Amino acid sequence: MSPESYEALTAGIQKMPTGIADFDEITDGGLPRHRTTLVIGTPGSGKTLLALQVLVNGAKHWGEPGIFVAFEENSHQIIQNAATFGWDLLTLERERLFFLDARMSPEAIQSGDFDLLGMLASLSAKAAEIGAKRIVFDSVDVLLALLDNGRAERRELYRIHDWLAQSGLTGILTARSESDESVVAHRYDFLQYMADCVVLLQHKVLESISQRDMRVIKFRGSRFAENAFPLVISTSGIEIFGSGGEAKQFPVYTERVSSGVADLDTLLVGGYLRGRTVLMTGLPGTAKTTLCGAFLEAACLRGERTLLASLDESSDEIVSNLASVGIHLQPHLDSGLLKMYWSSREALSAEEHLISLRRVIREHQPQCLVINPLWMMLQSGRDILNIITNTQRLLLLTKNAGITSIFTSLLSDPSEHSEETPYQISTLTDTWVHLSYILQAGERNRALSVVKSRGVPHSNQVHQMILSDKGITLRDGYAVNGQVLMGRRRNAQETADQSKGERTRLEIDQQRRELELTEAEIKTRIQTFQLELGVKRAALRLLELEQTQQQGEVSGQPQDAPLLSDTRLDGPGTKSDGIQTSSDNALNQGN
Amino acid sequence: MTLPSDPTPDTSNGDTGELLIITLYVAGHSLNSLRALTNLKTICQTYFPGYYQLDIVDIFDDPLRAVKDKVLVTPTLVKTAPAPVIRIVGDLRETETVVLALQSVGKKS
Repeated sequence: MSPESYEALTAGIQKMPTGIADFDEITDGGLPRHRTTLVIGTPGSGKTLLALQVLVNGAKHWGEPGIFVAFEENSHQIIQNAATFGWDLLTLERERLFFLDARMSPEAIQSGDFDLLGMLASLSAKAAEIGAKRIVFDSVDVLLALLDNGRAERRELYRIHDWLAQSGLTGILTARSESDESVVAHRYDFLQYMADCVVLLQHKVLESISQRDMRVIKFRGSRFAENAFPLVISTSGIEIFGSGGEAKQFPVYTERVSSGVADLDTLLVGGYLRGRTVLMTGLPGTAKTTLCGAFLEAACLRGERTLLASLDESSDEIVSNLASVGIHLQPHLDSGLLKMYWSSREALSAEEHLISLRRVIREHQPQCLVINPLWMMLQSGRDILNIITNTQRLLLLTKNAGITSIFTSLLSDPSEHSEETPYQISTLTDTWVHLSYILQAGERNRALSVVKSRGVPHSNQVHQMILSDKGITLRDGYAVNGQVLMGRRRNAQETADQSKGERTRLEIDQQRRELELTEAEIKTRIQTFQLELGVKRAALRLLELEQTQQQGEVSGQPQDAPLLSDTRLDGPGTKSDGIQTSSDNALNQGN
Repeated sequence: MTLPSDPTPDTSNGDTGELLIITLYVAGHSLNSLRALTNLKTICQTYFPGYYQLDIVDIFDDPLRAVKDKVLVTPTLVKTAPAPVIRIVGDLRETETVVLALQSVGKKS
């Protein structure tokens, strides 16, 4: 049992698990065994509870008996308080726990100096009797106040420290810090030097919402996570939301998960990526919840476990609202595939929401998750950093578990808020779907665009989203002069464009006809000219013949004159029939 | 160990003469405990000669007794009779305080 053995010295710090969710992970295994841990905190930060929980867990889970030395409360109060967390201390007390009421009776009279030798001797005996491994002194500041003497305080604290080292017990001392500042009252500074591990608990109230966190300030001979982590006092005791352990390689899936909307799946080349996170932004009424509902219904129909966490809107409201657009969640709620988690905004702090969510996620083990809306749930006051930190915490959880998640957020236009939170959150997510409405011609049309989608080629168009009792459909954007048209405006534009096309066709027909007519007329004229040419040529021949006859009459041959007139009359007559025929043909063609 | 009380009670302090039963819890031979023992003996012999019964418990010898009696700091003096029970912690260096505490309560009965 002696920690001074060679093995113990060379093995480095041994750890004693606390059994408190994520505390052991933050401290890389728990509290230092056979050493002193100091838990400092403001009033109401959970010091006593933390110490008690370490003791109870030790007794329950590792069969390590423990002693609780109560300077502040009496053991009855402690047992009563513990019962509210479902810890049956009375049963445990009989077997493995011992409570020492160390409250100084208010009637006790003080005269001169005293020390803790007697108490420590008693505790040694008791520890040996029950085989104790863990011991809590709650709280040392009450003890120090009794001593009321700087030198005596140090002497007695070192006495406890040395006694712990010799006894082989793992000790937890609690001490109250006077203010909300992280620094313990100067008076107790030396406590921090003395202890091997120092844990600071803080309790703040932000905009009337209570907030707690824990931070390991020091841990001799051990590594630990140095950040402050949210701490929540829930129905099962203290819960801490750690970093989720070492930075892990998230499971990578290439599978697509249907969004529940066929058109959106097409847009995203098959759907959302399995195990990834989708950010869905938009103003109220842009159908964020509907899209989430479609996603969940599709998942349930595939037989996957799903979880819907919402704020302010009760499960019944959501189910009945979604039923009106043809999304039926009730059967899945009944079968247990779908679980609803909801809470009112003011009921819990962001950290409490986070930890409750984690509990529900761990219990239900969903494959698909919707958090609607995200910010409201993870926001503590106006602290933007806090939202981001909390979102990161949640993302680690969902990504590690390979849960496909949709987080929704109220946001009007992504381009207008480039410097604000949603943008910063968006960098943490893999897909960003933005919903909006476009106001045109006295109507409001829903629009959907995929702002980003990591690792997926996707359309950059704004699509019109139509909700009907048949479900959700998307229409490609109809762009005119750089403006996307939707709804009636789009329909009108389409009709206008169609009738314009018809007119153009008719006009072209008309023009073609006119040109054909012109062509026919020209052909007719050409034939007329050709006939005229024939007539002129015939006339020329006659003229030549006459000339020859006159030369003959001079030599005595006059009877050729009637011949000449016949030729002149018949010739053109025959030819003129031909002209009329071809001219008619041309006109017929023209008609 | 029980110290025998003085065989001839001195009633000069005008007390009722009721037996004073006190227990002093000490931690071995530590400084505060030794001082308390010395101081207490002087007080008893001076102010309550002959009618006190002093029981001394060394917690190092009987550590579980202290737990049972709910004694935490050492030295602690407990007066069990006459009623009511009274506790005085410290090395009992302030004689007047200690005497008054033991006496005034005793006088009421």
